[in-house]
Amino acid sequence: MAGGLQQLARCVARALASSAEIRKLGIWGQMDPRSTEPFIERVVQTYAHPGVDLDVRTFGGSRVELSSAIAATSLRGSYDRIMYLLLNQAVLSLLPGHPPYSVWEIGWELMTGPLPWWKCRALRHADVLLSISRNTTAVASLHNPQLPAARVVHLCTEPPLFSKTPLHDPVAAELYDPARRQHSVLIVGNMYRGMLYKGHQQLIAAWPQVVGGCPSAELWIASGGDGQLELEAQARMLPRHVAKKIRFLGYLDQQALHDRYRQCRVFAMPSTGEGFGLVFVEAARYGIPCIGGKYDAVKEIVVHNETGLLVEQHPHDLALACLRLLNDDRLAKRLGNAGRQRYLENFRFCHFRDRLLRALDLDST
Amino acid sequence: MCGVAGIVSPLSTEVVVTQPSPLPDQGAAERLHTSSMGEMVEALRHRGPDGYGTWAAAVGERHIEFGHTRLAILDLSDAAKQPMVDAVSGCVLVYNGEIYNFRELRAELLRDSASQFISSGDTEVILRGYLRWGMSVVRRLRGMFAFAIYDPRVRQLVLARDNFGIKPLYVTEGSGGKFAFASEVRALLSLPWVRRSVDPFGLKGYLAYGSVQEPYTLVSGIRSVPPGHTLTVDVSGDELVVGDPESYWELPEVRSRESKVSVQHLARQIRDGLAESVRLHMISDVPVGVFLSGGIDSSAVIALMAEAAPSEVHALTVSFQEADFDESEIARSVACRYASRHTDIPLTADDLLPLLPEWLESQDQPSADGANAWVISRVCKEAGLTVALSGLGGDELFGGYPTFQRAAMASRAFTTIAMLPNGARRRLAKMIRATWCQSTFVEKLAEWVGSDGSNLSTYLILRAMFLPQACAELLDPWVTSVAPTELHPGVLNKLVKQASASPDTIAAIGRFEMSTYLHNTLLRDSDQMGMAHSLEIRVPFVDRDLANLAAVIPGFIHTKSGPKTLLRAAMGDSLDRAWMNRPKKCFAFPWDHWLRNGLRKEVEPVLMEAGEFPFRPGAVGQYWQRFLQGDKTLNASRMLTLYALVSWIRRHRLEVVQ
Repeated sequence: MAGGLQQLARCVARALASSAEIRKLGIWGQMDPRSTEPFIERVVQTYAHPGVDLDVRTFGGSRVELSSAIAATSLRGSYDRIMYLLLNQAVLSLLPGHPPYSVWEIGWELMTGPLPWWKCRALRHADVLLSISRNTTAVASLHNPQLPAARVVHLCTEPPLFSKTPLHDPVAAELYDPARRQHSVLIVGNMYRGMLYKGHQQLIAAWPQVVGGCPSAELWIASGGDGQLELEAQARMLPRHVAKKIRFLGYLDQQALHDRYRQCRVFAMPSTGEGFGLVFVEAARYGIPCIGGKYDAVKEIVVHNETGLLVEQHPHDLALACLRLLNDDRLAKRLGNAGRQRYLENFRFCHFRDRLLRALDLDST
Repeated sequence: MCGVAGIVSPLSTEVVVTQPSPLPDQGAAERLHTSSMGEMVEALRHRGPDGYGTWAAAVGERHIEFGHTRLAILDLSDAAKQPMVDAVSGCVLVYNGEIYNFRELRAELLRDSASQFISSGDTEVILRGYLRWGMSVVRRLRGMFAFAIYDPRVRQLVLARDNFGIKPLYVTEGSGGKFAFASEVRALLSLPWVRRSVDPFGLKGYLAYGSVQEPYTLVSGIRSVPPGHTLTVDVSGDELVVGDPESYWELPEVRSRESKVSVQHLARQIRDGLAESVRLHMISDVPVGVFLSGGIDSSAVIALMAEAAPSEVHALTVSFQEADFDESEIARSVACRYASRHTDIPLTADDLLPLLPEWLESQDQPSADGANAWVISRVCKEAGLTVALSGLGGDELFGGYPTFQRAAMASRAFTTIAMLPNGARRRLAKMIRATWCQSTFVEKLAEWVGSDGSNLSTYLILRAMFLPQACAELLDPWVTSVAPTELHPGVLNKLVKQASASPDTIAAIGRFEMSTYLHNTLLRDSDQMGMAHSLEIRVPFVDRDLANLAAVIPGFIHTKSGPKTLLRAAMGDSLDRAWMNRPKKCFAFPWDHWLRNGLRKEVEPVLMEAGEFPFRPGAVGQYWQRFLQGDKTLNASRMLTLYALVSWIRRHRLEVVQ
């Protein structure tokens, strides 16, 4: 699984492994190569309680093998329950004798229209329907009114891979002092053509107005995708003194991203379609004030005017929001600090673990 | 009916000007306002030629001011002048509209001995109502309104707009803690800190549906307050905090139990509700007329006006030489029975041509659809009227448009098409586009086959002016990349919710029509065109209580025996069968004929020269040529849409900010 889903899978596995009520935990990765099995086991072991039996299997992209394994499990009754992270995989619940199962409402298709009948069935017949945000489950139900309400389990930042989360998060709040930061706005989000909903074009379109109010302001665009060329072309069409303030950074590794978070003054991603918006949790962790969109799940992470600003995905509104945070040190610091506090109280692994185990009616102590 | 305006700005950026009032009726008292407010009031003068007023105050480090232009209809005395200030609380109100239940509310407020009235009109009822009930006063108001109140006790500015958005209210925010509101975009454009740049979202929605889709406007940064919402601006702290609009009313959901009630019983309820609405809409201290087209809606209005006050019904009709469009014979029959006076104005292209620039100039936002309202408003004003009733809204509430039946048919047909996998449907759509003779019908058919077939998608395709492919051909790529959608996400969410909550296609379409076409085209045109002539247009069908009555009835009952089954049953004893049973004609002009002939010399140069941003170079001119050559995908409505847009952008000198 790619990126965010891999991270979710690791967090889910570690959370389940930590529950004393689970004696055997199977972690089956359809897309992962077989060579990753020891790695996965080592990661999950960091949180596993002593009595759990881990059964890590990968299928190297073979749906046939995965389906056979699940069919065999159903027949033998090897597992009491199955949890599916992907809706496509959950259609395997149609297999005869399939045990009770839970499934996550994840995926762009949930947000855009009615689902095919077999996916709807898979969701409807789940014992427990899980969602990463209230917004996702509300939108899914709007398009598919027959779906039951899901139990919401907000995501978290991932603990270090081979150890537990330290009590003190090493990313300290006092590092964010807006007066000592460059006038910069960072956006971190994929730029895939046909899925440019994260607000890149609108931020670029806002930049002339931003530079008008803050001449040294820079827009830093991290990540990549096949839509990047169009965005670069859009930026080049701006007046020269504005265009040179927009910098495409490409894909950044962990350390490079960490450095950017410690340099930027504002994080912005005025998306209209985030299922959750984990990137905002990351930014809040660094104490950076955030600008998000009003109409998706980000409002469950960022509280408008308290921990960040939620705005329309429109160049004018974005420009005003950016200028407020670029030009007002006090406001930026207030929102950044409050965002960091909210992260510490809600979006660490311990919180995710508790939420998930409660949603599955498992003991979280 | 008036114009309102307000500004909040940091004290240091504004120069406060004191000057004596220029109008004799203002007395010798000095009026305190900035030059910006003076410009805004001037821009709204057409909405209120009977007087103007301003108010200003310093609040901490800020300056707040209100402006108002008056069209006097209720309580013509100075006691009802605005801005209206309460001497005890210091609360200040500016308001545009009519509250039809103001007498009932006034009586309720008088029962509370703390309420003292100095005027007899509806304006003071709002102010006293706010002082008594806070902003929940909006839930008690039955009428059309847009108002703002500054409350110094909590240092907040609160704005409100009526349930359907009959009255306009626009807001804008500037950097450095500036905020302004006004009844028209042109008033906000007069402010020096408002950037005159095209809003790509407003532009895209305009092309997609033939009218600017709220809350966007064509100007970046200027938005409308949504209908049925309030907006609070907190000026108490160091920062100006503009809240999100909050909803106070929505159309009620359909109640399935209403399907067990007989049509006759429902029709009686509708008739009583409509009669009450018409009666209330006639309350005025100045003469009231009625637009009479000869259709069922305007005929119903005039019949009920005659019941309420037989001697006071002045009907006005516009007639055409072109027989396909002329309904004056029916209108004359209706007027003969119900009107105390009937004015019938014949209109030709030669009559309209010299008026075209004036019609365009009066558009606060561009529209291809308001010429009829403009002409008849002018006729009304020349006849000495200040208020006129219109039958607008009947089709939306009672299932009158062809869209209702077409959507119902499409919904049934799509159950077959839905059996095809998505990929196959898209290929079929492509084949339809490539193979069949091109026409607007075929274009929309192909678009629909490739869609998800939901009621909402079907409706949006039926109502589309330019489909996505045409928008992409016309607009500069920057516009389509920055504005990926035609509708605001909040509006789209609302439409999806309405679709989900509606048990049948007709009910769903009715809600879509009220939220989009009625709101963004008809009501806006009605206000703009009426106000261009300082005429207040009232819409008794677009009434909260009537809508509450009609909206809960399942849609299939509204169209059980054809369009407007319930309305026909409700008015059956007042309107001749011959009037009700003839095919619906829109109150429209013969534009296709006029564009190719009498109006061509005015329209062609404008479209051929529309080469610059936000359009692709030459695209608009090519569309005009194709229209003249008989391209069946381009009809008069589409060309008028482009003409109105290009004219508007030029007139307002909107700049290109890419």
